Amino acid sequence: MRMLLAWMVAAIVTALLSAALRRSLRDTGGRGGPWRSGLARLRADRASMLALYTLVALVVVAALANRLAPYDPSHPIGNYIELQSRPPSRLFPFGTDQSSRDIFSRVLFGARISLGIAVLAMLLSLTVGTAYGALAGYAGGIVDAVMARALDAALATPRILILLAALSVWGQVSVGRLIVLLGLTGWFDVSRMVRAQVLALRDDDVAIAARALGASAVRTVTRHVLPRVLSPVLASAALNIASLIALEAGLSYLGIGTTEGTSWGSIIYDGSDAFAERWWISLFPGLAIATAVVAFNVLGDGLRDALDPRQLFSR
Amino acid sequence: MWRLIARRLAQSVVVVFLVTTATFVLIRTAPGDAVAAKAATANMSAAVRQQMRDRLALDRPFAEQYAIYLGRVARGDFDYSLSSEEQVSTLLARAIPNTLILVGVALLAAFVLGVALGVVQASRQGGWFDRIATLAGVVFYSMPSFWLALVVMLLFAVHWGLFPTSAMCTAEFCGEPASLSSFGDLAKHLVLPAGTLALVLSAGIARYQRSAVLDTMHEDFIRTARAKGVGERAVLWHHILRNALLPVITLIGFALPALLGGAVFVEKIFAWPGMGELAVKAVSARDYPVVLAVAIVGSALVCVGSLVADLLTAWANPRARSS
Repeated sequence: MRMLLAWMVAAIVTALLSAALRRSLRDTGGRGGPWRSGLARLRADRASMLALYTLVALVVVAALANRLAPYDPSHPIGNYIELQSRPPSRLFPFGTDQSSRDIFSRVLFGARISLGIAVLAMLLSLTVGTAYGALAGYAGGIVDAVMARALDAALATPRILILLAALSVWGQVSVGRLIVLLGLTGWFDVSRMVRAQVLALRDDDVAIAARALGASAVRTVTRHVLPRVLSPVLASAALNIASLIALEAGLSYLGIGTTEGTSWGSIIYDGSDAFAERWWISLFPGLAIATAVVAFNVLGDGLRDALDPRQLFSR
Repeated sequence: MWRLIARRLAQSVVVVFLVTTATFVLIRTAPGDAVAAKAATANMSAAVRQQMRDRLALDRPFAEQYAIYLGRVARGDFDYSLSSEEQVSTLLARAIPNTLILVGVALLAAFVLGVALGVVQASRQGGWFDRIATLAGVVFYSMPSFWLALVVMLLFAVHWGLFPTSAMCTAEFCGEPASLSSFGDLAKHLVLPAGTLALVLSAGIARYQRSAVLDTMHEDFIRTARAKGVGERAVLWHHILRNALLPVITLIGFALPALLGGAVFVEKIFAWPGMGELAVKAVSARDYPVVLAVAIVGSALVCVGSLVADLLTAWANPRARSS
């Protein structure tokens, strides 16, 4: 009964948040600058909005996981032997695993770890990538040439191989280290984009005016150049999270992600040794990953199209 | 043309150099050193330990170690595997051809499938086929390749039993000289792993191809072709496709790192004895010389691949040759 109530509350919170988000994206008729009208274009895109609502629902579920989950995710339910590896049923909608834990509850709690790691690593990637790109683009000349070549080299390296190399040397890592590792191997594409944009904008009228008024190089970049570069960065933030969720899941699936907490990937790992007999253990967390990644990809594409006017005509 | 090749080769050297440096930094920042890691798993006498320290030059100054490490990598000497007592280069030599077969076939299949899908989608823009294919594309593009591989294996190998679940060959053909039937056996084992990789990659290619065709459709020379009375089908497959293919060829170079990354998971799941499977096994065993070597060689392979993609672009597109 209490759980049913909790699910109803979650549904209502999701609906309210979605409506509020939708409202905040309304067209203000040119007021608020290109950002506002760009975001208003996003509202007109049905697929993006659907993706946005899905993500709101996922975040609400992750936040309320302790109220919504029917069972304790990390401990066996009741009789250890009797409820082992049960296929999906009315009592256990996603089935149970070898240790008699409820997969449904585990997937709900897994959202916290999977989404949390991805969001934090994305923030790190974006910060480092924007800083590096801005520095290279604004410095120009030989500094830029060297920095850009290094960037090309990093982009040509398969990320998973670097991660495997790091994890083979360090062994199991903590959540914090994993986030740093993922974040520091994912900023290259953001950097390339920011560099190209800054390079194009560093000597336009706005930047020249700022410098003529006595603004320092740092102030010119941070206040007058970077804000105009941020819309593609926002789009790539969503795309970045999408690939991070899949990547973290992949590492956990290989049994070499973090051991602290259970992400969707680690649940798949639990079921992978006997996938043929106990498919439900791996299937449902996989569906959760696919849902989240599709939503972030669709939203990222939508943002890119909505915020970049040139894209509107090239399609 | 030659300048392009020279520039790309120089770039490849830089890539391999940077990755090698990164791996060296990784080893140095790890807790304990190589010998300590080895001693933790094996029972070693002090004398053997010192012998190993000498061979790896662990007691020399930092810069000297770095120089020695670079020199060894340049000669293709990646030391010994910690778990199998074999030279890493021997292990790699066995694994690389298998990975190349898998990735090569997947790339070819993905290219054919992706281009065909993209062209058909674009020629029926907004129709039901276009919409369904676009949706399916987003889903397949987003799906983690390891999970897709698991589902594919469950359905096609376990449930319907159409294809073998793992390895490269059936016992009777393994190690036998190549023949028509052993080739068929290999092909049968290749379908699922290569198909999984190709499915994910073709989703991205189709999307790119679709917009490339849509862009090309509005070019002047297409209108000219139509005005000359060229049939609609000939316009699509000869005039539009030939031009719309160019950006997609370039895309292959960019797709290679992701393809090799996907191969890591697919090889593990289908027990395909390639570099990825080797690396995954080595990571669990903390056998880091193998993993580092795979990272270095993998990056080098990607460089060679994008060089080939660049040459293909230059060959197919006279405009790219001069720039």
